[in-house]
Parts: sequence; structure tokens; C-alpha cells
Amino acid sequence: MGEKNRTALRISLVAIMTAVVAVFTLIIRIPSPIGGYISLCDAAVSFAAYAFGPFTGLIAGGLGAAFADLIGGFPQWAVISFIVHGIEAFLMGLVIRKNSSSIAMRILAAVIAVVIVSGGYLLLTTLFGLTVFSEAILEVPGNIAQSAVGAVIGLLLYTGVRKAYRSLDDLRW
Amino acid sequence: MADIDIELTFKYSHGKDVLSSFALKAERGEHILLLSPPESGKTTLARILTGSIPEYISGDLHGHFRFQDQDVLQMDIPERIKVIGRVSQNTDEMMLFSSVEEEISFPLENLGLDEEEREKRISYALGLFGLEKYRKVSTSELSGGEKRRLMLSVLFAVNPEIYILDEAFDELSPYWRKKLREAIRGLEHTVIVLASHMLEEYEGLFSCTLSIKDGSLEPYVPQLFSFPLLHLKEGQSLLTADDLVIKREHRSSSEFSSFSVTIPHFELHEGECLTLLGENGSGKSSLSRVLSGLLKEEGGTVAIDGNPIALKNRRSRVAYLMQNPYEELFLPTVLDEAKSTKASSFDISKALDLFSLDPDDYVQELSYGRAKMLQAAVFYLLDRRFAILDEMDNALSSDGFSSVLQAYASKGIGLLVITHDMSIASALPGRKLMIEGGMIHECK
Amino acid sequence: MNVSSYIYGTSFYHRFDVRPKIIFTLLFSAVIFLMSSWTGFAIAFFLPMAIMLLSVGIKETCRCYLRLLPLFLILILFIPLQERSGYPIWTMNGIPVMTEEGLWTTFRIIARLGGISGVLMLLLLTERNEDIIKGLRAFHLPYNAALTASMILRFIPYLGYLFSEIRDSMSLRLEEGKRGYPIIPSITALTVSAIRMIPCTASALEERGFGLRRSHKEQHIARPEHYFTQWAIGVIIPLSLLLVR
Repeated sequence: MGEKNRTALRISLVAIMTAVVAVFTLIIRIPSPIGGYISLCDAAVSFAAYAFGPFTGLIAGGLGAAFADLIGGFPQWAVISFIVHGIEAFLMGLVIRKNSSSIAMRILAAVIAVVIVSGGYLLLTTLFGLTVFSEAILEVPGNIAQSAVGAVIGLLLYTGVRKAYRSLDDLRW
Repeated sequence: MADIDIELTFKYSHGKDVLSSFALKAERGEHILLLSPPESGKTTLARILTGSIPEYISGDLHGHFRFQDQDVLQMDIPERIKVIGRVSQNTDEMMLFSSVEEEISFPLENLGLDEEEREKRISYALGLFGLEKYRKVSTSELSGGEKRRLMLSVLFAVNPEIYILDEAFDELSPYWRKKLREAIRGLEHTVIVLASHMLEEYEGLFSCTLSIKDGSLEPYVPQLFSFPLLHLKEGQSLLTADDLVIKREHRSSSEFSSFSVTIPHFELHEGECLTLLGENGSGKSSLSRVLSGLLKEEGGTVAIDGNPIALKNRRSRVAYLMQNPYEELFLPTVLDEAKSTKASSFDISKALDLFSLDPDDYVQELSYGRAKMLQAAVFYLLDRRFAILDEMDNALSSDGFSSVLQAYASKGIGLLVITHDMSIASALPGRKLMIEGGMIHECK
Repeated sequence: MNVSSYIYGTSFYHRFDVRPKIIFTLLFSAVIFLMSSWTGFAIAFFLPMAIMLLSVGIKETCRCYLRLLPLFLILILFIPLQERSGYPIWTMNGIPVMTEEGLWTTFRIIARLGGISGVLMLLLLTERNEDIIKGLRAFHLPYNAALTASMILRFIPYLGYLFSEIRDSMSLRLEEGKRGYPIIPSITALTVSAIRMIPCTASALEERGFGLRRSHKEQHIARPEHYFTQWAIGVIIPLSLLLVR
């Protein structure tokens, strides 16, 4: 691939990965009793980070989660979701370096996902004054489960997709 | 010197030679038909000419493409917009925006046209393909045929010197095929139509018909292809539907109402070949979905051998080969797909042979036509007693299509064939059904 | 899947130009965080609801607020846990169940959530997505960002559709008697189909002339009647909320 016009490729990559994250967030929605929902959002966010690195991960992960909130009728969470899932993908992308990552690194990435997602929502929702601390604590177990499962499924997804689509790594920038 | 002078040799990085000393010379304004079987390099040619290859799919390209005094291969892709444009075979891979209006005005803005000129071209092109009232509609609400018409509108609005229409008659109903034929006839610019089989709409439209063989161009030798007689095998089972009412919400906006189809009685015998005709959006696919258990009927019953059968149980009885083969293929390689049917390895190798597939090919790298063959092979191995082939003839050569039909027929599978091609319909044995205005009737 | 919340209408809020409407939405959301009085919060909560009732009707308004109801209920249930040391207004057996400060905290949060959610939904309900993007362009959102946003809105419903097709065709391959669909293979297939489209889409962008124009001036959107009045309303109403004591 030439180096002349990477902009078209970057725009397409970001647009499509953002849509993937949003669709993953929206299609499998188990409403949680505390408002919001449990979804495969984190699986797609981790996939974006594993496959395309920290920067694409940051934009696609954050934007995808935010778009899902806007479309799904919870626009008040969009900004917080953008920050939390953006940072989640960015840090995971920094830790995981393509295939050279060891098991320990993968576990570290999953731990990062769990800490950022559960801690991020807890911190930001209370900081913005959009919930009370006790309610935010109630969300933590759900977020831990969702992000941990997400990090594992994301890795399975990455392995599966690379097997079927051999030129996956060429798309990275 | 000819206005258009093409000479190309190309090889994909991961595969075999596709074009070798392919040479085409033509005058401006000529209308050319390039007729050759799937995987002969037609889509590759279109992608090379527009620049998609080797920029986005890598390979080894040699040769030249001159239009008048311009050396097109040396130009960046966006700069070629005035010279050449294409409608791709898979419309979804070229669709960019969520509204019809944005889709069509994007290239016009890039051309730097002023608002008045843009408006003129947009209404002209939308009018040409009957899409005026869809202007504010979301592209996700369009049917396959409507998407195809939109992509044609985009190309006609840009109006490049050379139009490449890659299987562009596919998915269009006879009415719109005729309209497209008239639109091409009225063009003073060069048109190259790429097709894998002859359609009656092509007659008298082209100044020459060519073919690709072993990667190079040669004159097309008309083969008097008569559809071989299907050898049907009688069976016992019978699929019936009675008093069926099918409703489907077509569009979210209130302007377009939902549509419904009523079918008093329908039957398909094992070992029978039934042909289903009808316009785009008349309900052919909806009926197929009900029969195969993917869509809930509004009323009525579906039964096999007289026993009513629940929606979910139909899925393991009736095979539905959807229009877009990629939507039914999930695994990395051809062999993985075949193995997923849990058929014996003997049957698998026999079937792959029968449908001329290479077990080691990667599914995502198959051409559209080859993917259809794989889809056919998978359902062949699954051994369902009934099968619905939804516009399977598109993108397959006539003998490819007839070999699929024959393979299914000799297993005694009850076939429901959906097609827009009248010549195929008349060559097939058995009853012909037509869906029109929400009703179904048998035609002669 | 429908990505558009837009409800067709001709109400005054529909006719409001998208640019002052965006400013109104943003200012209103910001002001909610700065407010400090009971009356202010009541207005913040009920104003978007009232406009919504007038512009899209009772059904859509209910749909919008019912989504928030579970969260509100939880917050109300949690009132006894808030500000235990505050001034008790309800005691049972000598133990304070509810304090004035606790009630106030909860009320504030509910008003904030309802107000922000309401005003944002109001924007999505009364403007088409593409018009919102056009409006943002007028506020100097970069051309490429606006382009990406439009494309995201095309791919979300497409991939949603693709997933339902994949799930359907997976179920066509199941053995008799089995139900459901295998989740990992389905999402893998969906992701592969999506990724496959990246180079195709990039090529489609370029083949339609993306990159030909060096500068992208904001497209001129015609100004409706009373444009400046609309601007004034869009700015003054949220700011005046700050004065409410």
C-alpha cells in the first residue's frame, strides 16, 4: 500500500471500528436493574486495542461507546463513556504489542481494562454529580464482570479474526 | 491512436496471475461488453483501472492505461474521477453515507461544482433511476435493488468519461434492467459492462463483445448455451403453506407503508423445481424467510407432509441460500466451512470437487461468484430436503448455475428458484409462480 | 436497527435553527452543573420535558423518561444512606431515616440527570443526524471529523443488519432440535465482515474524489426567519437560569 493518501484509510478504519464498538454495545443488551446495561462493549473495545493499537483504540473505543449511548437513549452518559472506554483502549493498546505479547502482558491488559472501567465509571459519575456514591458502588461488580469478560472475548476475537482475514495487520497505522 | 489504450499484466501478492498481457484499444464513446466466467479477472480489471488495485489490494502491476493524452495509471485515485468510475458488484462495499442525498452529493462537492450544478445533476440522476422520493431516506432502509440504483445514480451524476458497470444488471428487476439499458444507450461516454452470463437486455446495446481467457482479452465466441435439461428425482416429502399472510415493515418513515403478501396455498414437492418471479421488493425474499423459518408469518400455517412445523424447526429442514453469499460464510477456509456441516470427509471432497472449490482457499479472499459456489456446497452437504436459491444465477456463469441446480436436483431436493432472468425461468422445468401486488399466482 | 431518533414534526422547537439549538443544548447542560437552588433545579428538570411534550408528543416523551425511571427509583431508595449526619426530617424509633441534606442531594442528582438527558434527547428527537453534523460543521468541526461521523451513522445500522443476517444463517445450519446461535463465531464473522470493508471503503472514498479539494469551507446553511431572535433565546434562557435563586 502506498503512503500517499493514508487519510482515506484512517477515516475508514476509525468509522468502521467505531461502528463495530457501537453495534457490539447495542446488540447484546442485558438491561441491568440499576439503569444502563451490560453489553459486549468491552470485547469490541479490547479488540480495537489489540488489533489496531492505542490511538485507533482510543478514538474508536471512546466514540463507539459514546455513539451507542446517544443512539440507545442514554445521552447523559456519552461523555463519560467516551473518556472511560477511550482510556481503556489506549492503555490496553500500549501494553499489548501485536503477537509478541506474553501471557503476563495479556493478563496485565485485562487488569487494566477492569480497573479503568469499574474505577472510571465510579469516579466520573460521582465527580460529575450524576449519581450518589452508594449507587455507583453498586455498579462496580457488574462493570468488573463486563470488562473482564470483555477483555477475554476481545482476545479470542482478535485470534479468530486474524485467522480468517490474513491482511489484518496491514491496516494498522 | 485509439482514445483508450490499455495493456496490463497483474498478479495478486497472495495468489496466481490474473491478467497477462491483457490489451484493449477502444474509441471514446464505444459501448463494450466483457463477458466471461467468474474469477476470470473482470473485477480485478475494474479495480486496477480505478486505482483501487494496487493502492488498497497489493499486487504486482505492469503496463499502461492511457485515455487520450493522459497516463491514467500514474494519476492518484481521486484525480481519476473525471476519467473513470465504476459501480461495483457488491453495492455495500462502496456505500459511504447514511442518507441518499449525502451519498450522491459527496463526489459532486469533491469535483468543486457549484450548488446549482450539483442540484441539477442530483435531480437528473435520481430521476433516471426513480429515486426522487428517496432523497431524504436513510440508505439502510433501501432494498438490494434500490441500493444498486443509487450507486448507478452516483455514477451517472459524476458522469466520467469511462463507465465501468460490474455486473450492474444484477439485483435489478426486468423493469429497471430495461431502464438501465436505455440509460446506457443514451450515453455518449464510453461504457464497459462486465458480466458473467448473457442477458437478453444486452442485445444490440454494444459495439463489441469480448471475453477474458487465461488473463488476456479475446473476441467473444457466442456459445449457443442451451440450459441443460434438469434431471429431477422424485421424492416423498411435501412442503406446504396455507392461508399465509406475511407482513413486513418496509420503512420507518410514514410515507412508505408496510407491505403484505397473501398466499392462499403454496406447495413444493421433493424433487420438484419451482421458479418464483416478481419485482424488487414484491415479497419474494420475505416468503423465502417464512418458509425457511427466519421470519414469523402474520397468519397461516407452514407444514411438511401435512404436519404443521414451528418457525425454528423449519430452519433445519429448508435451506435458504441468501443473495449475498458472504452473509452465510463464517469460517477461515473453504475446508473449515465444509467440515462444519459434519459431513464425512469422503462426501466433503466429492462435494468440493463437484462445485470446483479448493479446500485451502481463504473464504474472505474468494470472489463473489466463488463464494456463491461455496454457499451452495455447504447446503448441499447439509442435506436439506428443500432449498431456496435466491437470485443464485447472479454472478455465476450459466453452466456454473446449471451445475448447482443439477447437483441439488439429483439429490432429489425440492427447489425453489428465485430469478429475474426470464430466459433462465423459461429454461427451467416445472411450475412458475409470480408475486405481484401482494398476491401470488401461477403463470404459463 | 434505527440510528435516528428523529421524529418528524413542525413544532416551534423543530423550526428552531440547528445552530442556536446546539448552543442552547450545550449551555443548558453546562448551566445545570452550576446551579444551586431548588427552583433552578426544578426548572432544569421540567423545561426540557415541557418542550418535549410540545414538540414530539406525550408518547415519545414518556418513552424517553421511562428509560430513566429505574435509575431514579434506585436513587430514591438510597436516600436513607445519604448525609446521615444531617438534619433529620423523618425518624423511625429514634433513628433518622431521611435527612434534609440527603433529600436535597438526591433531588439535585435526579434533576441533573433528567435535565441533561432531556435536553440532549430533545436535540436528537427534533433534528436529523445529518443536520446536527452540518450544524457542528458551522461551529468549525473539522471536515474529516464530520465525514467520519456521517460514515459511522451509515455503518452502525448496516453492521446491525449484518449481525441479524449472520445469526439467522447460523441458525439455518444447526442440527435438528438445536436452538440459538453460537455467540463467539457470530461476532467473529461480524468483525471479519466489518474489517474486510475497511480497504473497500477507503478506496470508495478516493474513487469519489476524496482529497481533491484542498480547502473545505463550511457549507452555507440558509438562515431562517428570526435567526437572531433564536440565537438570543438559545443563549439567554440557559444563562438566566443562573440568576434563579
